[in-house]
Amino acid sequence: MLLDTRQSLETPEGALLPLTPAGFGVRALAQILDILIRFGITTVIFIVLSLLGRMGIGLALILTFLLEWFYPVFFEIARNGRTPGKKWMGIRVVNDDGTPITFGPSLLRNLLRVVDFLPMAYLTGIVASLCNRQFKRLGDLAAGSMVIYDAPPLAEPSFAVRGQLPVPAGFSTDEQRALLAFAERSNYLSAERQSELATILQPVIHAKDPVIAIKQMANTMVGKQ
Amino acid sequence: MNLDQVTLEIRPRSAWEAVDLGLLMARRWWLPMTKVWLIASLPLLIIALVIPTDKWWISALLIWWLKPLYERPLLHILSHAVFNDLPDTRSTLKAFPSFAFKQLLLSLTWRRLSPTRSMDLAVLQLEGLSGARRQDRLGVLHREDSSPAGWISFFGLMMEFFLWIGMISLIWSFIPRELNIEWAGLFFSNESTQLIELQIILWYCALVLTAPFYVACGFSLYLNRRVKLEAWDIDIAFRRIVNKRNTAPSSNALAIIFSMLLGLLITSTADTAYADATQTTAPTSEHLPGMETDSDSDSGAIIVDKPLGDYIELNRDTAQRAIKDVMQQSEFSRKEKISAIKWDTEEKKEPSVFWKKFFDFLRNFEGFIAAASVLEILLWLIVIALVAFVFYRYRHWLAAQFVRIKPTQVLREKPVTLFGMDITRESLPHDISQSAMDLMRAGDSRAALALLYRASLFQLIHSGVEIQDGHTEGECVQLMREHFSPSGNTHKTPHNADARIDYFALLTRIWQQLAYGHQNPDTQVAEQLCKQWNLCWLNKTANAQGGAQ
Repeated sequence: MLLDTRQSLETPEGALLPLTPAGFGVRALAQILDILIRFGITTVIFIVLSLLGRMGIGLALILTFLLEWFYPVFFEIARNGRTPGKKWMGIRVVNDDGTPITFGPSLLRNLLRVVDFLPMAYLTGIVASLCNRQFKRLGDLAAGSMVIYDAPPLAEPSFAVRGQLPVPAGFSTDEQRALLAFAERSNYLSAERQSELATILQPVIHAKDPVIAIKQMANTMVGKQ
Repeated sequence: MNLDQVTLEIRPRSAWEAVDLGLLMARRWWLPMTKVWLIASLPLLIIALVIPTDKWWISALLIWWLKPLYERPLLHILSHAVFNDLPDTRSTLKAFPSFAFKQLLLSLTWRRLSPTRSMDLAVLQLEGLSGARRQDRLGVLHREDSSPAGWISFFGLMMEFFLWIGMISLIWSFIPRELNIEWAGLFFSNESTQLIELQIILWYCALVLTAPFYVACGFSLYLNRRVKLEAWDIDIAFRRIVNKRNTAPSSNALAIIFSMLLGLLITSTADTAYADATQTTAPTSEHLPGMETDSDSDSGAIIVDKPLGDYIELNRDTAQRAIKDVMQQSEFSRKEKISAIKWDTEEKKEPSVFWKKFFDFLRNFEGFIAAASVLEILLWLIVIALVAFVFYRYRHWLAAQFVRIKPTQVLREKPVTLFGMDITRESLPHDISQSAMDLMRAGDSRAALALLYRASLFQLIHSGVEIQDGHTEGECVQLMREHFSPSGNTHKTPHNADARIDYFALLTRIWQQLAYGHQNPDTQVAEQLCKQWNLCWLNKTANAQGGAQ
């Protein structure tokens, strides 16, 4: 069993749904961002409403209460599990089974934030998240939710090589994917490393220049000229 | 150290995901790492406890400051465990001196506070680089995905601190309230030496708890960076492809390649593995010289006359003039003659004085107040009139919306002829029964029945049955039935309505047979009808006649 951050959920149809739970580091940053945003809003509320005297302060306190408790719930429901901070960090909250978070679990996990916060700075939550593989804090465990990374957006591939070459027969999907990954990531590899890697495949593809040959195969796969 | 033996799922990850992988690594190898850390740093704890307690902050700082030294065996364990070669505690401790003193002085002085310490340790310890080469290597590694390294240092420090306070408050919460220990005294009073020693031990425990995670996260960041730079996952995949296809034949050649790539981790592949970032700088600078020569110019004449490419000093004004000159050439401009009427301004002066006086007069004219109120009243009247007009104009629509008004009944004229027959009072004789009987006796049964029918229709029309020109005979009977039906409206139904209906129905049938079918009615029936007419339709006369008979 290889150690991996990604976990696959199997759907009833037998399809594998890869989810990547997010650990406490990225979540802490998202939380800091959210706290800063809330702090900004609260400051504005108090400055504006204090003009109304004591009634204004009362209103501001009520609004602050609502903001403090329902800010995450609102955004998790309305923005598909992403508060502004989470969106910034590229993470979101989902149910255990990968479905979008619903009102009940969201409310529960955010009410239990207080428990996770104890004794200070989410220490309980951090320790709890280190004790299970999905990095769930207590609120997540109770609500049956988890925080995952958003899939990064796909970039238009560009292999900087023209021409196509047929992929050798008998290459499985995973093997073809490896060829494609080589072409896609060659921008980040030095020329020496590229030829080093491509030479490994030389006994199979028998090409004059294996680097260009693999990129041309990738062109064939993505339909580029 | 073979990529085939790797115990991690190798794939390029995002920076924070790499940190999460570090957390998982620390979880899996937490026990051996903690064991080694405890054993290696135990002497330090003893020294820290020996230091007099009034200098307690020295002990706390000492434990904390020497952390890099005790992180090295943890990295040693991890770097082997990742390649499925987990060393036991004894061998780790035996190897400890070999890597403990590498650049130790630097690590404990000005590199101690480097935020990327956890990530950089591997370069020093595993790749064995130093000096300028180390700096180059770090530059490559930090080019991407290294921002979490600083953050985990920050979070690690926070964790240590919070764990320490958390453990102290946990103990404090078990102390019965009756003892009445001052909360602040726990932290700040120097009276009790045992308490301070306890705090130092707790501090040490906090460091034990965080160290494996911190080291593993940093190592994972380093590993992820190398996976990306050297495409380990592609390496593994390509090797699998080749292995699958020629397992037997060229195993010798494979072994050579294997041996070439063995020791990927420790041997310095740094030189070949630099990420090629310079590729991405596109040669956009090519365009710049051309643009500069275009803008080089002195004045309009010069720019037009002189060949391009000569270098001429110019300033802003001459350039402006040159542009203007060029723009005024016929290629860039055209002339238009526009004629328009303008007010003669000179004659306007006198009237303006007049108007001014006039307005001054108006401004002070008190009659305006009255006029204004009159005007106001007028305006209101217009408004009211408009509203009224609107109400009137749309009264039907409004009525339909809000009030149900009975539509006005259209008075229809009663028909004078039906089925081509006269049904006016004038055309009918006084005594219908008698006249019909006479006609019957004269042998003209058609005329007799026609008379009866006409008279019946006349009676029906004048008793309120709405028979129109277009109705057929059958419809007349139907209308009559509806008119006199008991469920009908408030029409006063005569007491012999049923008799009348029956009579009229029978008469209609016989009349239809005669008129359209030319079937002469049974004489008896016809005579019966003639007799009954007065009885049926004219109650009073019928009674009178009955009385007379």
